[in-house]
Amino acid sequence: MTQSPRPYLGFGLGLRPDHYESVLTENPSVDWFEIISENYMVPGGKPLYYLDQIIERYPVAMHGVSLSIGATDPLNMEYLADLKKLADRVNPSWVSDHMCWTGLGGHNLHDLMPLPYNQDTARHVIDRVKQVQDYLGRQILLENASSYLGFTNSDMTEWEFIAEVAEGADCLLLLDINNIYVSGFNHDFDPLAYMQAIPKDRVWQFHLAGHEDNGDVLIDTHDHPVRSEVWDLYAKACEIFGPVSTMIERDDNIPALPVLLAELDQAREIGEKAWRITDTERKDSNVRP
Amino acid sequence: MSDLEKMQALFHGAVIGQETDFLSCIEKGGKISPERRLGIYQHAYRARLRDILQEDYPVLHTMLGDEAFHTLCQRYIDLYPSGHPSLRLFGRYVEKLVGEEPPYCDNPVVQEMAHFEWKFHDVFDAPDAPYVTLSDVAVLSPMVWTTLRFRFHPSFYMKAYKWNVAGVWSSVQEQYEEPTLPEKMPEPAYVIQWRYDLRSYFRTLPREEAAALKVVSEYRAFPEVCEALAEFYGDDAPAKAADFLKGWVVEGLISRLDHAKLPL
Repeated sequence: MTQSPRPYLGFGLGLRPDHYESVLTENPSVDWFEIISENYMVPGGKPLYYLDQIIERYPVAMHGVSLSIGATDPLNMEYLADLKKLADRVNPSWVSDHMCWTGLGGHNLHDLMPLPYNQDTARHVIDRVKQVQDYLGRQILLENASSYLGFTNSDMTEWEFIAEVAEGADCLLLLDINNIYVSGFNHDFDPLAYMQAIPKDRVWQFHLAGHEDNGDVLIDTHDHPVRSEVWDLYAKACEIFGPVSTMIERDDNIPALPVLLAELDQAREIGEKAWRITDTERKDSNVRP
Repeated sequence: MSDLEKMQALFHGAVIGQETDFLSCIEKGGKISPERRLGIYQHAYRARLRDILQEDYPVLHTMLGDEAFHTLCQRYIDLYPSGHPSLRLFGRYVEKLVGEEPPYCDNPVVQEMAHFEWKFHDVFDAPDAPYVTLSDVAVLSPMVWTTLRFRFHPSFYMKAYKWNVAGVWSSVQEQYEEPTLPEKMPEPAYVIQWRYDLRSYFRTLPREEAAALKVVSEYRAFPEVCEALAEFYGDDAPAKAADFLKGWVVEGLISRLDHAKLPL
């Protein structure tokens, strides 16, 4: 596949059912929305009703949690067919999932399970990403998941592994800044070294989210506002990668939309300061890195 | 079996609660022990599945109480691991478990409540379809009524319950001052569930309406609906059938009117 130039959508939010009505009635100043793909892989009803209207008004990216790209089970072709069907309906700006595995033997753990970072795993994942991209007819973005354990048979760093997979499979990346921070704390690595080693042109999206601080371990809960340490890291990411579409991902303890919009303004301020995007340029939808 | 496959089998087993030697695969060092690192995944697995069962079965939870519901969740998580990429479908076999396992299987209202609560899922996600309006009915030629049949909205569901599950459900969800206690009814009563304008509804049917709606559900023609009602209303049956039909249309139960084509 030919590498397209990185599109820039601006500052977005995860679309959540709590906000469906507000989005339609208040037309909030959100540049784009990200949907959880699985929530819309249903025959009908409320989610699709709202989605059909929202895609008329905003760019939408699809973000999945069940691709299980690192699993040793065969790819779930039924799932992929549903994903493709949804992509045909949504015409998303892109489709993403996670660098992880989510189950074994047809049994889903519904969690983002970490992979050992070594050449064998990288080859396995590269092969599967290629299959998925061929099936969907598009490049996918893979996100770095938060993790709480490492493996004795890992001989690469997480960032080396991600770079290896991205280059080998010719796929794109979604960098979750919070996850880099959380995993950096849990595994004692330097988040800056991580980001500096990631192939920049492959990063098409940033996630921002909150986590829970348990003193000696951080848990990626997505139920808190973004923490100041993560904002600081986001500012660095903006300098390193240039303009990258950014969104806030809140999955639980979801506040009213204005609260998230205020948080998004904070991201906008940091990003636009780093990229020196002026008011005039912001109005021009063709802002490109 | 590849190293990755072996590791995933061990990790997977450890997370779902099997005895495995996965701990030896975890890198040592850092701020917390391998046991705690694994424990985060083990805890998250059960907590996530328990949360979704609580969301899907709020009244079953209230009926059983926290402790018994927690025990039910643990048993369900062990017996019916999720086999679908969507977490949304995880709780679909709770009715099966409570129908088979003591002590739940000795308590039929538990099984009926599990069935009733899960049906909201099917109603919520059912395919979309248009709703017939009163104007659609008003313009029908008198000649077509002899062959007139009805298609329900895809979300429509009808079932006879022996216990007053719909009443108990409302009582708990709407926090009645005097709660409705579960009781077996003198005879089974039909409850319908459906979706209209994105909202899920349910109601218990009077005996007469249930008889009429059952005929409709079998895709039989309007005169047969009248026949079914004759037992209750005699000569007034056609007028009553028309009243019921009007109600079903207003409530959004009907998606299509079928009838023989009239000769030109």
